[in-house]
Amino acid sequence: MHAFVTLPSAYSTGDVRTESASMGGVGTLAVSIGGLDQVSAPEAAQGGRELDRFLAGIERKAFRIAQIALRNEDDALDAVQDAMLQLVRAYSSRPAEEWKPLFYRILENRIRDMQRRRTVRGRVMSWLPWHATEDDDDAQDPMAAAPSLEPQPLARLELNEAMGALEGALARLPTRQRQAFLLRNFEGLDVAGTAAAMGCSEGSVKTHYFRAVQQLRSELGEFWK
Amino acid sequence: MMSEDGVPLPDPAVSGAPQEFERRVRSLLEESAERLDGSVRSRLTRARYAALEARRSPVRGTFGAWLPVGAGAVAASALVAVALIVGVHRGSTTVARVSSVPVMAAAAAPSAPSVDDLELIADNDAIELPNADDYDFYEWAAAQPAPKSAGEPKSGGEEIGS
Repeated sequence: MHAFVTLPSAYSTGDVRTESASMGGVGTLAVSIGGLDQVSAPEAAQGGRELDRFLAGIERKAFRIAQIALRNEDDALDAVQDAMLQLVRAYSSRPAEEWKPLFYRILENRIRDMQRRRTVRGRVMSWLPWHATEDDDDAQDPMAAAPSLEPQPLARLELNEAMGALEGALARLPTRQRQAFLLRNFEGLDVAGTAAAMGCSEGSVKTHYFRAVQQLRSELGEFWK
Repeated sequence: MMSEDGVPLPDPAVSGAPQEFERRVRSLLEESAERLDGSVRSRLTRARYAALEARRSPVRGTFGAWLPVGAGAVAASALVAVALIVGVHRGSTTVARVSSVPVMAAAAAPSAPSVDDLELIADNDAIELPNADDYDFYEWAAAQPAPKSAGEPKSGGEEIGS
């Protein structure tokens, strides 16, 4: 099933509708590839440098956002790479100030698709008699998961503990609340940009954000007292 | 200040606690992003270069994007046509040969009708199954010796006129 939505206001892609498909979803069909044929070589090089700077500036935060949502490093890297590719292919000709909301819109679509696929795969695997064996294969190495025996500074241990608690609390948030909180608080998008990335109204962003903060405070209060 | 569904939102100018909490969360998240290990940073860099490389590579337009779809459809049609033709011919000649061609088994299975069979089935007047009352006649006719060719009537008209 494909859910078609349109980007609101200034971030609208015009006549190209976004699609939550397997590619992470924005305009997979008949998309005009950014008018690359019309730009000169210097302009293309300049655009490439701008894109490089933009992607380099957001890649770590984008990875952390994907990792918190997917709880898996490899999946998070795949999602970020797909989002980069999709942005470059389909929207590199858009004004640079639109890139960030567009990128996170693509990334959130990709994350959602991966979560859905994971749910379906889990459902199918539960019917197979040998799924327990495959789960065992996928399980992480217990030695690797064991805490390091090397002495660590107390501050680092406290930081790791706080980070683990925060990640757990973020993962337990409803999807929209987690999106609103991470895009606003961590990525630093304004309300309009967050609304564009989430495909909802600015009022909904405020509501989701407020509820996320309330929930996180109730869960994490002990770590910040 | 109220949200869309009536939930009161804190005024940042009045309530300082949420701001402090949000700052601490943000600083923790940013530190975790800065402390990513080298392998992850390397993979992110490679992903970025791969994306930028895709921008430099030749771009196919809309026609190019649809070209593989059209070519695939033509190839599939040609394959179906060949399968039908081969299947029909083999079905009408010999069953033994088609059974030795597993790829075309579906189209050329022993039960696959030949062109003649299809015409026969389509023609209501060409086939007349015996009624239950006529079984004795057909048994009698089958028991009769075959007529000599010289004695066979040349046409129904002559027989009637004789």
